[in-house]
Amino acid sequence: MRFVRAWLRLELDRRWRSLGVLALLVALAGTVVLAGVAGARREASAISRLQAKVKPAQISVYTNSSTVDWDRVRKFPEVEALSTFLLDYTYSFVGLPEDVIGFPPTDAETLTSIETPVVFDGRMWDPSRADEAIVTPVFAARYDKGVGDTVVMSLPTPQELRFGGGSGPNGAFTGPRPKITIVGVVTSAFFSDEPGGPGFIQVSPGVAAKYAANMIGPDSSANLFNYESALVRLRGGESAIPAFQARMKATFPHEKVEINDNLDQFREAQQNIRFLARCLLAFAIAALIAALFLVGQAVARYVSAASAELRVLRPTGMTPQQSSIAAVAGVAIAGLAGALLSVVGAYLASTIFPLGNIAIVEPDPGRQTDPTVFLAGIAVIVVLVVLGALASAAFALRAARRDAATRRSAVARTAARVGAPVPVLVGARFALEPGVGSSAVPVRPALTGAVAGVLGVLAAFTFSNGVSDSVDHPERFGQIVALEGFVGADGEDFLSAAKIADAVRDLPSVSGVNDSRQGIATKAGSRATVVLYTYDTGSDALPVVMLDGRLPNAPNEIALAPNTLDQLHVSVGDHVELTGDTGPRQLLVTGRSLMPNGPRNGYADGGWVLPETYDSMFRSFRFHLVQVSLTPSADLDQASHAITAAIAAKVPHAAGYGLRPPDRPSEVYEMDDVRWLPVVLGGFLGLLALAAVGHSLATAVRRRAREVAVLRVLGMTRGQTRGVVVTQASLLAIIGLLFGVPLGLALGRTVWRTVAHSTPVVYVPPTDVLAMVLLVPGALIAANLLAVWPARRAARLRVAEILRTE
Amino acid sequence: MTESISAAVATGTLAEGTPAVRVRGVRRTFTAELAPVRALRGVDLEVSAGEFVAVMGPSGCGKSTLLNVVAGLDRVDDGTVEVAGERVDGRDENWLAKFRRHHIGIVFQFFNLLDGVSAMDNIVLPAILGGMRRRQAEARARELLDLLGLGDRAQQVPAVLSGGQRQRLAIARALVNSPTLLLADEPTGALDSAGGIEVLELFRRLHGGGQTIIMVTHSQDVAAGADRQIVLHDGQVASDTSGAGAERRG
Repeated sequence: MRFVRAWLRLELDRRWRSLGVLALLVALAGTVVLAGVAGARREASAISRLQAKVKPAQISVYTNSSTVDWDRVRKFPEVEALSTFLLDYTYSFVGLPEDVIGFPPTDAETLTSIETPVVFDGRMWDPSRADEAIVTPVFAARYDKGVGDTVVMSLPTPQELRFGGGSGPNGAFTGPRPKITIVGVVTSAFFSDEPGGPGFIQVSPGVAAKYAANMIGPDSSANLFNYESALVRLRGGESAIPAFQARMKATFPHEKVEINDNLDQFREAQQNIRFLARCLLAFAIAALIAALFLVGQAVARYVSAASAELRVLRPTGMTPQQSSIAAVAGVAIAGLAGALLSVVGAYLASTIFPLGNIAIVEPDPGRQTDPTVFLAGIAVIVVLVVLGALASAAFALRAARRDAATRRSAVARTAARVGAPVPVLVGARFALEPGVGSSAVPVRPALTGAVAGVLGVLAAFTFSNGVSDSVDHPERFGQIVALEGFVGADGEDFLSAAKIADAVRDLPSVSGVNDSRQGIATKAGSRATVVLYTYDTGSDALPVVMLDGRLPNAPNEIALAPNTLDQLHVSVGDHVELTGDTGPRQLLVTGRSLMPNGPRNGYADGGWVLPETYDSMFRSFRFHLVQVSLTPSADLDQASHAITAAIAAKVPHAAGYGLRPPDRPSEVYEMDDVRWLPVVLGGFLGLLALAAVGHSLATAVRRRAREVAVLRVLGMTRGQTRGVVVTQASLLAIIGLLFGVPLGLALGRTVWRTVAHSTPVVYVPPTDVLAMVLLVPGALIAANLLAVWPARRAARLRVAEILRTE
Repeated sequence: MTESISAAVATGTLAEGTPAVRVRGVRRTFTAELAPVRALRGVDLEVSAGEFVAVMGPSGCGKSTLLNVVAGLDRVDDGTVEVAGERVDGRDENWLAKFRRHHIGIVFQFFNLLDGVSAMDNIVLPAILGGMRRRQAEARARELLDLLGLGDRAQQVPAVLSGGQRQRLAIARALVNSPTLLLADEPTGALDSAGGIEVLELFRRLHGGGQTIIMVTHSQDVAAGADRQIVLHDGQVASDTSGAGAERRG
C-alpha cells in the first residue's frame, strides 16, 4: 500500500486536471442518474406521502336531496370523522372563472379533523369567519393571488338560488357580494388541484353559515340544487365501507345515496403517476447505460495511460496487482469526488421534482434529500468506476503481455492498398489501431463511445417522437370521440338522444355517432366496478380503437378496457359475470378496447356492450350522452358550430344545445409532461458523446506524439498532420453513424413499444426524420469541430524535443 | 498463484559459494510472420558473485533475450535459470516481481524512466516497492543521487537531463534496493563517448565495491572494461574469456 500511496500522491500532483475532468464527467452523469432515480421515487410516493399527512377521507357520500340528517350519520359506529360540504355551483367570484369554485364546507370539521391540510403559505381559515378563504397552489400561481389578497364573492338571492340562475345583467346574481381575504395556500387529498385545472378557492365554513339563505337555501324539498354531501373517514378503513353502505341504506331507505371510494380514485391516480415515475426511472437507467459507455471509455483511457507508465516500474519489482491498484487509485479518488458532487447536483436538481401534474399533490415541494438513493448512489458510482478501472487495468496488463505485434485494422490496410493519401492512412490507423508500447491508445472505447453517442441520441429522439405522436393524436389513447353532450343523468333524460343523434348523423364532418348510456356494473366477490357504455353498430358506428379481438356484435358479449381486464383477471375469450340492476349476467369477452374518457372512467377502464345487452343488465342509466367522431379532415370548431346549428334546425326545443370536446385523459397530460425528458436525455447523451470523442482525440495526439513527430521528420506537412486528426475524427463519426443510426432507431422503437404497451397507448412505430437527417451532418461537423484543437496541437508539435525525450 | 519466497532470497543475501547466476541449456524461440526466430539455442553460463561480465555479439544474437531471461522479464522454452541460488524459470509474475526487488537491478539502453516525475521520485518509487518507508526511501535516493553526481537535479524531470545524466539516474534507480545482480542492456548505447565513459567508470566503481554486473554491449571498448567477456553468436555462447589470460569456457 505504501507504493500505491506514493504513486497516488504523484498522480494527484501531476494529473489533477485530468482527474478533475474525470470527476466532473462522473458528477455530470451521476447527477442525471441520481436525480432521475430520486425524482422517480418522489413522483411515485407523492400521493402516499400526501395521504400520510392529511388524514384523508376514505369515502365521499353524495345525496340528491337535502333531507339526509348528517348528525345521525356522524353517530354511526363505523364513522370516525365526518364533514359536510355543498355541491354548490350557484355562486361565483367576480373576475374569476366558474371552474375555480370549490365546494363550500358547511361545518368546522372540514380541513380540521378530516383532510387536515398541508399549509404552504399563511394559515388555515378561522371556521367562524365569514370573510376568509384558502386557495390551492395552482390557483395562487395562475391568478397571482396569495395570502392577503382579496376576492369578491357574488351570491344569489334566495329566489335566484331556488331557480339556479341570476336575474341581473347577463345572468349575474344580485345577492350579497362579500369581500373574502385569502389567508392561506394549502392542499389536502380531496381539496387538491387537478391535472390541467386552474386551481380552487375554498371559502371558510363561516361563509355558508352567515349566508345560509343564499347558499344552502331552505331545508325543504323546495331546495332543488344545493344538497349537502359529506366526506367520511371510517373506523377500520375501507373494509368498513360495506357496513357503512348497509347502515345508510337501512337508515335512509328512500334516499338516493352515491358512495365513492376516494382511495380507489387515489389508487387510479397512483397508477397514472407510476407512468411518469417509470419514465423517469427509464430516463435514469438510459443515462446510466450511456454513462457506463461514455464515462467508461474516459476511465479506460486514463487507466491505460497510467498502466503504460507503470510498466516502466515492472523491472524494478512491481507486481501486476500493484500495477493494477496503482493505475486504478487515481480514478477511484476521482470517482468518489464525482459521486459526492453527484449527490450535491441531485440535491440541487430535486427542486424541479415532482414533474408536471404530480407537483399538485406534492406535500413537500422544493429541494429534498433522498438518503437511500444518495447513499446507495455514492456506493454504486464508486464501485462502477473502480470496477471499470480494474477491468481496464486488467485489459492493459493482458495487452502488455501479448507479443508486441499490433492489431491491424482492415480499413487501414485497405486504405494502404488503394494508395490513400498519407493523412487518411495515418488517421485511419490512429482511429482504428491501438498502437503498441507506451504510445498505445485503446481505440475500442472511443469507437464504442461514438456509436453509443449516436445510438443514444437517436434512440432518445425516436422515443420522444413516439411520445409526441401519442400526445398530438388523442386516438392513440382511444379518444375517438371528438364532441359529446349529456342528454340525461340518473335515469332521467332532459333531451332526446335519438333526435340529437339523427340531427347530426348526416353532417359531412361527422364520421360516427353513438347514443350511449352508461351504467356501473360490479363483479361478485370483487370490489371492482365496471363502467359500461352502450355501442351502436351500423355504418356510422364510432371507430372504437381495439387493441385485441373485436367489438361485441351479439347479446351477452362485451369488449373490456385493459385495466378492467386486469382488475377482473380475465382475458379475451373468457367469460365474466357482471351484475347491473337486474342481477348477474354471464358475458363473453370479445376484445380489448380503449374507452372514451368519462366522468366515472378513464380511457383504459370500462367496457362496451350492445344496447340490448345493457337493457338486460340495467333498468336505468347513470349518464346518457351523444358521442360524435369526426372525419380526419374536419375542423373541430367548424364541426362544433355546424352541429349546434343542425340541432337547432332539427330539434327546435334544443336550440342552443351543443356538443363539446370531452376532457382529455389525465394520461395525455402526463405523457405531455414527459415529452421533454427524452430530449433532455438526448442532449445529455450528445454532450457526453462529444466529451468522449473530444477526449479520445486529444489523448491520441498526446500519446502518439512520437509517431506524428517521426512522420513530420519524414516530410509530412503541418496541413497533412491536421488531416490525420481530421480523418481520425471523421472516421469515428462515420462509424458512430453507421452502427448508431440503425441501432438507435431500433432501441428507440423498442423502448417506446414497451412503454406504449404498458401505458397503454396504441403503438405506431416512431421515426424522427428530422433528427435522422440532422444527425449525419451534425455528427460529422461536431467531430471535425472537436478535431480543430487537437489537430492544431498535432501540427505544432516540437518535433526535435519529442524525438529527443521519447 | 504466487509462490512463497524464502527469507534469504527476499532480503537479498547470498550464501557463500553460490553463483550469482547459473544458466543451463536455455532455449527461447519467438514466433514471427515469416519463420520462428530462435533467439537462444542452448545457452550455458555461470557468473560468480562479484564478477563484472560483458556479453557481446552481433545484433540478433540473443544478448538482450539472455538478459531478459535472467531478469525474469521473459520466459524460457527450455533449460533452467538460477539467480542467487533460486530458480527463476517457471515462476509466476508476482514471485518474479518480488524477487527482482531485492536481487536484480536493471539498466536499459533507453533509460525507461518515468518521464513525468522527478529524478528523486524515479528512485523513491522502486525503493518503496522494495519495502522502504517513504522517508527512508528519500534518504536512500538522495544518497544515490549524490553518489552519482545528480544531487542538484533531484527535483528535475528526466526530460531536462542529458543522456549521461539520465543513464546515471537509471543506474541509481537500479541500485536503490542494493540488488545482488546489476543487469545492464547496452547502457552506453544511447550516449555519446563522454557519457559512455562516465557510465563505464561508474560500473567499475560499483564492481570495485563487490557488485555483480552483467552488461550487454556492442562495443569492444566498453566490454574491455569488464573482467570477463562472453560472446554470443546465433543464440549460443561462442567464446568466454576472462581478463588477459583468457580461459575458454564454452
